[in-house]
Amino acid sequence: MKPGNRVESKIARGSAAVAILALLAERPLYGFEIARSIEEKTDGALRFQLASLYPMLYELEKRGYVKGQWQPNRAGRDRRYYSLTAAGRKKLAPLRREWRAFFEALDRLAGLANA
Amino acid sequence: MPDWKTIVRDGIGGLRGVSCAEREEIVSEIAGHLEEAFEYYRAEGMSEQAAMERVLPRPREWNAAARRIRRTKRSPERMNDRTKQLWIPSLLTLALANMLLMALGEASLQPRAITSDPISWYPGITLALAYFRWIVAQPLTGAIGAYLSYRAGGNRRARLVACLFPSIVMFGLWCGLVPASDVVAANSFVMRHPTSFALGALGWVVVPGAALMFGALPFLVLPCAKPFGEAANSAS
Repeated sequence: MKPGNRVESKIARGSAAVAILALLAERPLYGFEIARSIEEKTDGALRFQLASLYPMLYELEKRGYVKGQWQPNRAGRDRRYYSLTAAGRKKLAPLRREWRAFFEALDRLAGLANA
Repeated sequence: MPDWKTIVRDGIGGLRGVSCAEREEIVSEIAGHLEEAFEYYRAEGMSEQAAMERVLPRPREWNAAARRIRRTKRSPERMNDRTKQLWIPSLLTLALANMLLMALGEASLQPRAITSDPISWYPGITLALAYFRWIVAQPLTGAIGAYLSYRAGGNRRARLVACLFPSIVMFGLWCGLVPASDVVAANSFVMRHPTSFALGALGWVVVPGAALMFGALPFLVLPCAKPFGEAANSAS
């Protein structure tokens, strides 16, 4: 990733919920995997430190959008896998619409597509 | 290899208001994350120190995370936990200790026209015996209080308060009632005699407290329990 392309932490935090829900819509993941996937899929533009990732996961779990479940793995290290609940799936659709509308509006305003 | 759980515990602090079992679950999860991230960066060729610097949050990040976790995990349900882990066991211990005291006191002070026990003719001795029997029963009372708190998932502090609650209340009463009796009923004997005050505190606060704690010891040294009846969805 080019220097300067990293998204500011405040913007990243605002997008954390939709990023996590979208990832979990594909398959259940555990915390470290979520952080790695977000970083890889965004080419390093979005990076969640554990200090912001876990509070967000717990918040989403409290709201009933994701469900955490401990699972043992072969290495003997238990991991807590998060999966999307029905409520989370329902929440993701309008969230995606909102973000799409937001980016389109910002594009019209600031000409992001030509930037 | 660093002790990741200790690092996380130090980082997020006590997480006040979050139950002991839940806190340990959070610590296990975040420690697992740190360990895996550390191994990942080491495998990428980073030095141990560089990998540590990369994975460990800064103090202000730990503080922010702890604050957000506390806010999320503390809910009306957590208030219920406090009731289950602290207040109910404490009040039951207090009730049990007082009922025992009343029962033993009543039984010892009944008038006896005919008795085969010559000691019972002397009220001072019978009272002392009642007190002694009460003290002997206190370890059981303390154990019950600590066990109830432990079973509800209470941390060590909650278990300690639950088992010592009768002594805590008695300490409050002793410190409040004795000076009050001086003012209200002009009964200044104890206030004028600090030794009597100290002896009273020793007999009604310190000795019962020690007995309560002695009985509760097995439950005070235990690590946190999963709250009774809660689905076993956690490991480690």
